Amino acid sequence: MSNEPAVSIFNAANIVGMVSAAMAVISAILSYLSYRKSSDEYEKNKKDNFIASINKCMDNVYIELSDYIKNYIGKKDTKEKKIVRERIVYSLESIRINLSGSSYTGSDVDDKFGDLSVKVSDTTFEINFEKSMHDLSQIKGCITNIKNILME
Amino acid sequence: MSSDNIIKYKFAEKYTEYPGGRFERLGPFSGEDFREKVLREIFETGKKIEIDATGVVTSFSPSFLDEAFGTLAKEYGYERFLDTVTMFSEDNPKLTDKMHYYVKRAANVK
Repeated sequence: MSNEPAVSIFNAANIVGMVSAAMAVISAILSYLSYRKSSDEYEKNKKDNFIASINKCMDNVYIELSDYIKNYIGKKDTKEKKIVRERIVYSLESIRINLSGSSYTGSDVDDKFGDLSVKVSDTTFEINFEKSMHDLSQIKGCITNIKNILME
Repeated sequence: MSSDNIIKYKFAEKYTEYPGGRFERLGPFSGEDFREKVLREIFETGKKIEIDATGVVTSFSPSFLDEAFGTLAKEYGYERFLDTVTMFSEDNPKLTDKMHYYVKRAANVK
């Protein structure tokens, strides 16, 4: 029988190596979990910001349209009237492009927004004040409806 | 199809630089007016039209697009519409997409 000491896997160097490896694995797992959490939060914030910006743009369209009705409905097409209408149509177009390019919204929002944009556009060409005020109340309902879908 | 059957239509020169709203009763250069005076005949005679909207000053409103183009897509079918009407603008590359959006919506195409 040899007098050489048995080689144990539990010598000091091996223990240090195993502990280091375990710590590295734990550290990698923690880093991954942290990355996942911040990535999820980033996506959630991005979606919240997107929805908030769409809501704000729709509110602006509503405010522009109500001002337009107050100032121009029933009056002939002047330069100023054309410019304000153009601004409203441009705002609708910007919202449409943002919605259709987004992965956060589906075809239900697209459909509702299509209805809204046609309704707003029709109202800017209306000649009867009472009719346009009636349209405005329907538009308010459409905007609220889209906001509710976006929040789901 | 021969090129004789494709009508090249410069919208700003031949019709208006300021397209209007939906119905004729609401003002000039409406979607209804453009549909009945220009597009209807194209569909009835089996010709094709290529609308060049370069130089149009104010935006095409959703009402105009819905009434002029969407109504025909609903009436003649989306495929026939696509085969008959093309539209572009050199100063507004998004116009084609915008027109198709309102046409699809009117023709109930997903």
